[in-house]
Amino acid sequence: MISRRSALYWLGLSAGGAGALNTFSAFAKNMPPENGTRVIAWESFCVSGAAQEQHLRSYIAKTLLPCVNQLRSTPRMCLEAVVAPHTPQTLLLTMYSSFNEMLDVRARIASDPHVRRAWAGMESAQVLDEVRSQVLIVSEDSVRFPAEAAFAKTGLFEVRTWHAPAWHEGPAPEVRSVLSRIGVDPIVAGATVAGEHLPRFTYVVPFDDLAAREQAWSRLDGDAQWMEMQRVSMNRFGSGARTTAKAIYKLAPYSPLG
Amino acid sequence: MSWVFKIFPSIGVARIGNCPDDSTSGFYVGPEIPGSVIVPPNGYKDAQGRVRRQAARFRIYGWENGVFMGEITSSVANITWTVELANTKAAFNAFAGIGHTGPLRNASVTDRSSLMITPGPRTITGPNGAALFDTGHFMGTPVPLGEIQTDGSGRLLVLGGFGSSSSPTNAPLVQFANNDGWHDDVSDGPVTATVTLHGNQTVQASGAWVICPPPRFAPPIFHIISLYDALLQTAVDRLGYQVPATPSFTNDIYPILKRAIDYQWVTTKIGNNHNPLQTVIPPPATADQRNLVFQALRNPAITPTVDTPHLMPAVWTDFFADVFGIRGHGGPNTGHWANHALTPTQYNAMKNWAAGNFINDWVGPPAPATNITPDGLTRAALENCSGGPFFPGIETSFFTRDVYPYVEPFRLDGTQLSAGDLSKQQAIPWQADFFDCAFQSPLSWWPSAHPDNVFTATSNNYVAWDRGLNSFQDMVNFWSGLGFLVQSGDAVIETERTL
Repeated sequence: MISRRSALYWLGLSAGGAGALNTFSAFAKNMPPENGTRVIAWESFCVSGAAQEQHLRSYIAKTLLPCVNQLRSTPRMCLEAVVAPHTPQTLLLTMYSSFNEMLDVRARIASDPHVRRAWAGMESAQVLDEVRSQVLIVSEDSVRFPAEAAFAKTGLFEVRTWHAPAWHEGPAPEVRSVLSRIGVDPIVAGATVAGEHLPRFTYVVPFDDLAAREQAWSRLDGDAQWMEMQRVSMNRFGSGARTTAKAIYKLAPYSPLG
Repeated sequence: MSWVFKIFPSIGVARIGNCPDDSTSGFYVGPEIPGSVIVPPNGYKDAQGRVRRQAARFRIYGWENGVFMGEITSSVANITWTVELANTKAAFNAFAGIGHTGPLRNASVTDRSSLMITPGPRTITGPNGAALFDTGHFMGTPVPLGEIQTDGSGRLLVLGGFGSSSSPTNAPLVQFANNDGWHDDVSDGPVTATVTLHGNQTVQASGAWVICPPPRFAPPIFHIISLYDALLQTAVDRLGYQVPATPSFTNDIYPILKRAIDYQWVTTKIGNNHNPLQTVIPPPATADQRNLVFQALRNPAITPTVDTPHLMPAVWTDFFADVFGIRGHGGPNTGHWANHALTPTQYNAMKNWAAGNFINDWVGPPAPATNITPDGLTRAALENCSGGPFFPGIETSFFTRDVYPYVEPFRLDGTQLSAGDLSKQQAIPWQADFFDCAFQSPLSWWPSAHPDNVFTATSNNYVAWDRGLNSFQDMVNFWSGLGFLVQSGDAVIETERTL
């Protein structure tokens, strides 16, 4: 996680936060774009109160997303928190082919006069409590942002983060098969680049409703292969995969599809 | 998959008011963030000078398999709230001081149920609902106790009574706490909820309690011992709750100093006598300066009835009856300085600070947080109430601190309590005690609720806050004309006085 000040720096809108940015820049040097991985910029806008939510919606839908559209046709998705430690909250996920591309787009967004003006308006209106940012490394085939408008109206998305010491080189292939077997089909599965509780993995999982979600995770608890993986992890690392955070979102009505 | 739901605040505070408007512009929601002060945009009173009610808003938070998930609203769950309010003061024992059991109030009335205002529980399912507590009676006279509403997200709002006190038998008001034949319309009771996440089974949320006490007329001034402090001590003493061994200057010491300094706005007793406390802000100050402050505090280990002349805080002891006898209340200057000590937790924090054992985390006066949290909801509600002296107290009684069971810190065990229990030992009517709890030389009672002396917008000299009211009956008739205190620049002044 990066502090709000860091996030503003990330957007090119504030001084400070160079340490975090340097971390990502250094990481970028070791991340050639052609190796099948992608980068997801993950920004969580925590709104100061329900009365301010519309202001943020307007900023994202009418200023930020159009700006991104002009710069690069890149997959992105906006989620609004339904059950989360901080509400109201909007999550913006944007995928890039590389860190360098992300940094380039960010810099250009930050210099856009419309964005700067709109951001200043949000600052003066104290719309946001904070912006939390992180960067996920994903494999290209693990990202499937929603393309169906119908699902966008009714579906829920769970964002679940695991601290999994046994997955230090990434989740084993068995993890994907276990999740598939229990009916969990993530549209994003990524490793967090920096922060606490590493190695940390974040999944975005669509569900038709809360009942389907509950049934799926209940199946995980009883899955023999999962239990064996947990046992092995316990023996080797003293801990199995542990959920450190989870929250439930819905697709924002203005979210791009596909 | 296992969900746990809890209602917050675990004890909510809905203050009464004689403005009957129950639309969202007719009342205001009480503090939900610690340290925040609510100033209704349209004033504490309506255009007719009637005091707006302060609603208590309750929310449900969920944990799944031990992981905090956040607030649960009607967007993901069907929520059914049930609230019961009651006023059983007139059927309970007369207040005779802590450790003394008074005779029954209205002892000659054989139909005890006729003395209890018990409209029964009300239930609302889903958002935008409402239900009135309008079926309770006192000696055959209807006494409405308020209502509940749900907002658009399915959160619960509780609005208390209207400050209406009377005697159907035209009995006189004879003393501060016990007046047979009288009723008021403060109340309290359990708040429960069931939560059904869409498509899942129904789960009972861990319950809360709501108290509906009189208004607090000095919202910017926090009581030196708040109900939060008192019930934190209860958690320490009875539940083994552990506070950090080393106090934080910002979180533990500064609030005590600030409250002591701020008493200058509500009592001439303090006046500018506490200004020297500014010398220890910011920390660390010198050891001598810190010790000077600490040595001015009464040790809570001292027997409560023992005088400790000139030690602080300058508020009366819980055990006033043992110092003077129950009839001593309201009497002339007695010469005693039997004051109320800080809680042991507060006192130990000050002791550590004086010894230099504290975390110097000072970066300036802390601003209130910007986000609502479960624990913050409870703290915000309770820090706006008096945590003593309980003689018998204004928001709730010593039973809440000393007797009633808790299932966790600040959360009462509702299975062992009945609606009305948290207010039944309070004065009847509340206005009688409120009148009597003006400054009583040489100490104050709870000047953050009932200021002793105030400044007005046009005067730099103290004036009595309750000037013009000369009897219990005056307070019954004219309480809503008293002014509210608001921050005005660096000062706190009286506004909206309509007497």
